[in-house]
Order: sequence, then structure tokens, then C-alpha cells
Amino acid sequence: MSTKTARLFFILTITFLFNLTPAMAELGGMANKEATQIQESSPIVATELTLKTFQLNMPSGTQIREYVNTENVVVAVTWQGPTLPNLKSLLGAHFQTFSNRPVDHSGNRRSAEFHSDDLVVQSHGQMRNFSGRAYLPKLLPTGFSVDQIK
Amino acid sequence: MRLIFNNSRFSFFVGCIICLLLTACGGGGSGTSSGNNSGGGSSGGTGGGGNTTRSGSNVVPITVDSSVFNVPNEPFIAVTICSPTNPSICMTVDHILVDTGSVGLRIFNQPANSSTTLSSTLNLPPATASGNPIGECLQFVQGNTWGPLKLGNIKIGGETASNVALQIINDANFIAAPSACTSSGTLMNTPTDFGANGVLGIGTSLQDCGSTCTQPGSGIYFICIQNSNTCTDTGMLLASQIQNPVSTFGTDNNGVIVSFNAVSSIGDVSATGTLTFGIDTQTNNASKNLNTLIVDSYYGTFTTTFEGQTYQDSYIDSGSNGLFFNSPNSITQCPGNSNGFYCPNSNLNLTAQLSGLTGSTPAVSVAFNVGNGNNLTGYALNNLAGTATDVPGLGKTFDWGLPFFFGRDVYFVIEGAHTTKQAGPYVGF
Repeated sequence: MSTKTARLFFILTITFLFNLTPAMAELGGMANKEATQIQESSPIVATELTLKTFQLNMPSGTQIREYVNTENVVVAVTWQGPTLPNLKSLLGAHFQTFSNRPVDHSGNRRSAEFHSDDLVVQSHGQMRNFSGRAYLPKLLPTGFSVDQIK
Repeated sequence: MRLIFNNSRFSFFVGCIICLLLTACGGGGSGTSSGNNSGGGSSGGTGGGGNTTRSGSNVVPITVDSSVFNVPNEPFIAVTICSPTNPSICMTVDHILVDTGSVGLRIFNQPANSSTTLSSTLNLPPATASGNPIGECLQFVQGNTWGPLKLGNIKIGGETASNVALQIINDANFIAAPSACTSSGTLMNTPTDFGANGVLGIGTSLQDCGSTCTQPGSGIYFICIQNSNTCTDTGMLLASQIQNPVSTFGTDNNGVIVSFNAVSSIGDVSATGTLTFGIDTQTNNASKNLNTLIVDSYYGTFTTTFEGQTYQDSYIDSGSNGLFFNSPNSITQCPGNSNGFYCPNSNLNLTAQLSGLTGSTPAVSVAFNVGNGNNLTGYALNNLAGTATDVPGLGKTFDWGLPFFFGRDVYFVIEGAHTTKQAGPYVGF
């Protein structure tokens, strides 16, 4: 069993035994919590810099991906699955900004969105089928297309 | 609201409240005549308008109006809840959203236009698991609804579901929302937050959450200990989750037909429709020669093809007030708002193809319109449309909201249930 596989097994076991919601590094924070990153997928290549992606499956089956720049900062996150993730821990301090967005009385029940120069949050879906992403536009590598965040 | 309406139009709406009430009491037969009008309306799949002239104990009126909530394209219904232990004690709550995009009945403990609360009027017994009360945190992307599951008799028209679980939202007598609920979204604590006094979820699923929530860790179902004032995330058996209210009726329990008259291309002040329970169970709810979209049994989704793009996450949703999708040929968004509605210079007449899973009828073309969101008037709009905040790389969404329903009969058949045509889950129109 490789070290990485052993680590993965250990984390999965801990998660199972204690039914913990796995802690994630938060948006804008340092991706230094190695223990939370259980699966490393292929890095995606931006024009100038490389973002690494890490994936985590929540107990509900919702998948979370983090995009980490070369300075080890989480610059984007996505989620997809039957329930919403713990956005408070996933977005960190930005959760409050998202929560304090202007009340939307337009009646669009399946979309929620916040846009500023510093933060974009897009959340979509309904019970059983949610997806969304959040990113820090100013920290994305130059030339990086937001559609690469998926 | 600021997008579509301005103050100068308000007096007009206020003046119309009386006629709206009359319309609501009229049983759904009044209002505009059926049939598509030349300027707009969705067409393609059907010839005429929705059949809102049905009557019977399995039919109740739906209204789209602005008498309580100032939001366009919300279909409302009245629901009566009675005590299961003393069935003569009842409370009727109006302006409950008819939502084919969710499952289960949820009502705010303090409805917007009520002098009393549900808890004080009905004193419903709690739904329990292992003897402890169940709390639920149902997620909507705009926020979560928190509150206890209670047992009640649900009466809608002549249909009754006895001693079934419903959610009471923001019941001050119950334990406050745990952090596992408030960490996935802010709480929608008032009818104004939600835009309705509650929601009647009558989609194609049997339970609100399903298999996902049979395991702990989803942040939806909680076991609560009143003495210690704590609620703990838990797995919930399918049978103990909130059920599709229609499936719990004694009769006419295989699905619903949502029917609406067509509305004017420039929008109407209000609209009337009907909600019919059961399909092929009575003389008034026979299957027509329909287009049928068999939908995914878990997600309730099918596929839309539009301008060369494939939208795998497509659904027909009366709880969405517009048509929400991202067009490959970008449509001008309304200026100065964050709601993402479209504001093209002129009305766009567009067509998409809808196709269901294997066993569905062949792909069907559906015409629809995208109007300028800043020029629309009224509360019943067949061309209100906007962007979806989906993540393209995770699957495109085409949300066929209420504009799809105007001038149509739309059938929703619950998973595992049968009509004379086929087994659910499917959507027909």
C-alpha cells in the first residue's frame, strides 16, 4: 500500500468512524491542510500559472473541488451533488458576504448569485441536484478562463 | 421586484386586488380564454390551451396574483391542515406555492395573512424517530427552511392525506436551527423571505430527499432532544421522510395535472389554472395523446437541446417563475440588477427540443419567448426568462418554469405509479 493510498484509507476510515464532515481548506485560505485533500486529479494548465485541483466527496455524495494556485492559495471551489455542502467552511469569510447579498425577491428560486470585483458565488439547483462555484477573480491566473472551473 | 415593477404601476395592481379575489373564488373557470395568442405563449407541443374547465372533487383552482406576495409568476393554492387527533380542528392557509420542482408540504408557522399560527391553532403532534422529534433543514439555493416535522391531515379540495408528515417552518416552540443547517445557507424565516406562505411540493419523486438522506451527514434530517435543546444530523428511513402529498392521498394518488389558460404576450395582471389530482383515475383526468418525457428517477431531469447546446439538467418546474437557461448566443441581460433576467431589445421567438429517457415519445419542439424583463407588466408573464447560475462544466441547466405552463396541461406522474399510458416518473404535455 503506497503512502498516499494509506493516507487516503486512513482519512476515509476516520471519516466513516466518526461521521465527520471532512474539513476543507477554505476559499482564499491556504491549502495547507493536507489531510483534507484525499484525491488529487490532473492539474489544469492556465496560461501562466498552474492550478491544481483537489476533490473531496461529502457523506451525502456531494463532490467538492478546490483549485489551488502555485502559492498554495485556494482561489476557486465548486460543488455538485444531492445536497448543498457546508458553505460556511468552504467559503470561509466569504460565506458572510454571500449570505449578506441583497435579498432577491425576483422569485428565481433555483439560482442564487453574488458578484463583486473580489468575489463571485453562483449557486444553482434544488434538493437532490445542486451545483455551484465560487472564485476570487483577482487571484485567478492571468488568461485563466472561469469556464475551466468545473 | 425592482426589476420588473415600479411604483407607478402599483396603484393599478392595488385596484385590481378585488377582482383578483373574485377570480380566485370563482373556481378557476374565469379569466382569459384558452388558446395561444399571436404575440407569445408557448406553443409547439399542444394545440390549444390548458383545460382549466375541469371540475370535480379532485380539482382545485390555482391563481397567479399579487394580492399577498409581490412576485410575478407564482402559482398559488389553498391547503387545509387538520389535527389528526381532533379532525374537526382545521386551519386553511392560502398562497401556498404549487411546486413541481420539490416534494412535500411545508408551511410557515405564521402565514403572512393570518392572525393565528399553525402551532397555536392546531397543536399538531410531532413526527418522531425513536421517540424523538424530527427536525428538517430543507435546502433551497436562496436559503434553507428549518422546522419540525408534524403529523397532520392534509386536505386539498376533496382529497385527504391522513396523519402524514409536513414541515412547519420557523416554529418558535421548536429547537433553533443547528449549525449544520445554518452553515449550508441562511434561513428563510418568513413568508416574505420565501415569497409564499408555504410550498406544496408535488414533483415526480416519492420523498423530498430520498436515498441520500437514509445515511447521516446530509444536513437535511435531524433528531432533536427537546430537553437538551439539541438537534443532531441523522439518517432517515425513506418511510419517515416527508412524502409527496399526492402519493399519500387515498385516491387519485398517481400524479397531478397542472393546467393554465394562456396569457397575453404583454403579460396579464393575474392568471387562473387548475390542479387536478390523479391521472386516468376519473372521467375528468384521462391521459391525452401526450408528449411524454420519462425523467431520471432520482433527479427528475431530462434533456433539452437548444441552439446546438445540450442541457442535461432540464426540468419542468412550476416553482420557477421564469425560463432559466444560458443561451450560447448571449441574450442581453437587464441592466443594473443581479437577478439575471433577460432584456432583449425585442421579443425573441425561440425553439428548443425536449427529449426524455428511453421509452419517452420522440423529441418534441417547444416554442418559447424571451421578453424584455424591464418592459413586462402584470404578474402572469409567458416570456419572463433569465440566466441560470449553473456551472457549465458540471452540466447545463434548462429550467422550464411557469411560462411553460401557460396554455397547457402538464402531467406529472410519480415514480413507480402507473397511468394507462406508462409508469412514472414522467412528465407529459
